[in-house]
Amino acid sequence: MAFRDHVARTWDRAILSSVLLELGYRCNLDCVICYNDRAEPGVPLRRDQYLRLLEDLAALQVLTLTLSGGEPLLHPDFWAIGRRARELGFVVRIKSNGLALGGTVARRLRDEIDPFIIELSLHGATPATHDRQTQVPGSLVRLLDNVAILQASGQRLKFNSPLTAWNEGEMPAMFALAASLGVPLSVDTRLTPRDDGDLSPLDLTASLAGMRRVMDLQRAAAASQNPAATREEAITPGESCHHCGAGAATLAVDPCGQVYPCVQWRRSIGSLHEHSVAELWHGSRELAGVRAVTQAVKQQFAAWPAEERPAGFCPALAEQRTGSPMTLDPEVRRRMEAMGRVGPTP
Amino acid sequence: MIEAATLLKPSSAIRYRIIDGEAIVVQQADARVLNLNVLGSRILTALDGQTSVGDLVARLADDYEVDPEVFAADVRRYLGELEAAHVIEPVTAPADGGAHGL
Repeated sequence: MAFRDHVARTWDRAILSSVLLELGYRCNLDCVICYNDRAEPGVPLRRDQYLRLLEDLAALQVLTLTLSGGEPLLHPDFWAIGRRARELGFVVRIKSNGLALGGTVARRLRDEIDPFIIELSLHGATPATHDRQTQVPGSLVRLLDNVAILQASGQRLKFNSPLTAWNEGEMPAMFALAASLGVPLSVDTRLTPRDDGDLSPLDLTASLAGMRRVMDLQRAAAASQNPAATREEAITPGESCHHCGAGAATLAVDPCGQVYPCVQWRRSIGSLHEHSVAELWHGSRELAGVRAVTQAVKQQFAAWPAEERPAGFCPALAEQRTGSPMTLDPEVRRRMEAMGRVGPTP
Repeated sequence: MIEAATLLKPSSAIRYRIIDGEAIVVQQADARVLNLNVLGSRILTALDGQTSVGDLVARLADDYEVDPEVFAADVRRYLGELEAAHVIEPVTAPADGGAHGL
């Protein structure tokens, strides 16, 4: 069975495969487009709860565990959680802004956690742009210094970049920078509201021309990068009855133990203060509803002419923006416009 | 060379999970993903670093109506393929020959 078929199988049969832990929303950057709700109330999970969660996830045969934040390395139990994740055999992904990943930390990461990949946030090709967006002077220089250290210690890296009105003019230089470092660059062409509903990050939405330029750059990068660098990006699921894996193969856990179908879909399916993750995965009516929605979305788009189907449609973001996970939201319409596609009017 | 007395274990460079009896194996070094069938997965999970290849073959052979010698040869060949693919690795004896304590 090809891996893409395995992924589709996990979606269709509700096999929990990938879990993202938002360890905390503390961060040593202050990105203007950050979607975290730092004022979210609740009681943070304790170390013993995290360690029990990891045991439960391993028993469920979850393969991929993503440690995210905020900046995950700022969590006081980051190392204990990461070491246990390694012991339990997870494929560990770390999403970091890279500022704390200097010499000894880079070596500790390799020796103690041995992550499969470290995903780093790149906001621009120049300090003027990157540091403007992170609101921390010197953050690009430190990031690039740490990239060199991480690479010297043999870590697999990837850059994630949000496309904004501030960095769209630097995108060619950002792709060139990433290529010169041998690090794949993934650009998200849509910004998202904050988790509390605040739309202010959308004020930095890029122009249509900027989106088109990025799409061209992505095609060129995909054609030129070496297979090892792009393999992970190339894994797309086989034929499935779901539009995406949200709630069908994935979960996200916020710092206070609220569990969501995915990092974007902030419909809580329950709390780890009250239930085990296995209880929620197998018994949550809310989660069953999410799975039904992603099936309905798939069926809806299957009935549309191919040229009208939206690329990159996210039911979670659609629900956040329109109140319905079935409706094309303004951001996906802009993306379709950039691609020269026009979907049905809702 | 894999022999009856050889001790093997899953490589420290892989991560794997068992789904419906089949192993999904991720190789950390090159991001390759392998899918082992049910028998391959049974073999992988039985390699605990303490069970010899001979004992493993004997245990598995009870469940399959095949010629024991042919089966043993097939399993050893398969183990060789897994080792060559860096999915499993031999258990290396400590430098002191395994003697611990005083």
